[in-house]
Amino acid sequence: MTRPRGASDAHAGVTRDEIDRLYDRALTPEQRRALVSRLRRDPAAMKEVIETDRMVRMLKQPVPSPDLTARVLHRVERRRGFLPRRLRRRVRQGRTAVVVGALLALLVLAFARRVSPDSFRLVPEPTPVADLGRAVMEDSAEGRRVLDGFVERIEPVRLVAGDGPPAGTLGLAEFHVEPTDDTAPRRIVLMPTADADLMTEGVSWHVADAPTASLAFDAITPEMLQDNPSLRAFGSVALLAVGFDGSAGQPGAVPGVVPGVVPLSARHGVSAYVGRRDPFRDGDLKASQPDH
Amino acid sequence: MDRGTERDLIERALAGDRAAAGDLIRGHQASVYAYLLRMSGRPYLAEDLAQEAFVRVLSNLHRFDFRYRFSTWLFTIARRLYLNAAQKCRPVYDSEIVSSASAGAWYDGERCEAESRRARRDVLQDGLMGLSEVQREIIVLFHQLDWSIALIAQHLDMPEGTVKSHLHRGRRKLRRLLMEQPGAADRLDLVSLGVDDERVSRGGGGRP
Repeated sequence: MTRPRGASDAHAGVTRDEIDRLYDRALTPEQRRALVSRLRRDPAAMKEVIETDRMVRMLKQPVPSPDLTARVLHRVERRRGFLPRRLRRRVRQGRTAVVVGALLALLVLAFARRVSPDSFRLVPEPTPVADLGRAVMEDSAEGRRVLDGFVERIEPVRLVAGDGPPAGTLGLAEFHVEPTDDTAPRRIVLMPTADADLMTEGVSWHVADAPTASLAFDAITPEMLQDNPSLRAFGSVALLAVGFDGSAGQPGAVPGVVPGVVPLSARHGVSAYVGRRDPFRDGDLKASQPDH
Repeated sequence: MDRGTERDLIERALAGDRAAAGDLIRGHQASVYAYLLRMSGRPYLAEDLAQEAFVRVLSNLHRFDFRYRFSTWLFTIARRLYLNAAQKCRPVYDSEIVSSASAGAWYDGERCEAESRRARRDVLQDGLMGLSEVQREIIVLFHQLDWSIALIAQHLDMPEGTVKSHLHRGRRKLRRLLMEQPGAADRLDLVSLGVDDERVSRGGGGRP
């Protein structure tokens, strides 16, 4: 029953492609008539055409369909409704008015926020990073002013030996700072001036170059000092170069450090003591070794 | 329905004319229902889907682009609805039943099958259900609804050559399936039937 593609008999030569084209509506009336006349001499092809023709006619038979009109319209009316043209125009205008109103409200809000931003702020505005530099400068100026009263009393006590830094480097500097009662140091920058003599226990150091070191540490208030007289604050110091002259005191008090100008290339940790007690004298430092 | 009449009906329906909307439905409901019935083999499902397709089309009539045929739009929506429904009616495997039953919601596959079996009393429908989905759809659109190859290709988003290939294979398979039905030879009376020009042209006729 099934004919191979392009198959035909010797007399009529009706191919499957031709039958396909017949039912694809791709043949002209003349071609169709010629094909039918050839089919009469090709029983197999004729049988295929008859079966296909019957099948196509079955497909073309109308299918009884239910009337959906009322149900569809009812559902559409429930969902959307068929509004008269005039009413629909009003609905459209109403929608447009709502959208325009919402846009205007947004514009007014945006304008008000630009004019008075604080009225819309529920929490305090965080400090932008951009202002940090200015704040530091202001604090530095204040610190320097506060420090002016301190400078005479600053005693860079000693360079710590122990495992100690090798010759040519300065690993740690410790300073003992005693604030006065009426002073509340918040940020202290230590910048010893050139030719200053800094005293320590049995050793005097002469600052040859300035600035030799700058030290910053966190806010420490007199109240905090009252609670903890030997409060220790950590900071960091960038030591570019420290010039010292040990000959004024007792050279060799710091093993491995040769008097002279010692260039430093790295940042070194510094611990600073702020309090009314002298940690070196009172023994606070015994348990605490410097951090490298 | 010619395009002028169709456009007029759509514009009137858009303006709120209920009667025009009714005419649009009446003009297309037979073809949409027939298409959905032949595709699904389930009369109730076809009716529900046809109804839903019309509701969606009429609810979104303001979006209709007059460059296209209304029927194309309608059939696209009907097809999408059918594919969604067919997905729900797919065979359910045991493991899926166990896992979905515990969730408290699973599609009644037995009901789908029962309705489908009832519909298959129709010999033609039985044969159509033996085709692949794409073959069935192309056969229905081409032979039942008289769509052109080009329109079907556009509707199914596939090349015309592929449409033709599916059409030819589907036609041969459907013919074979129909002939395998009990008593098919009696019904067709093959050898006694002659083929005249008129009959062949009617079979291959339809839209030019």
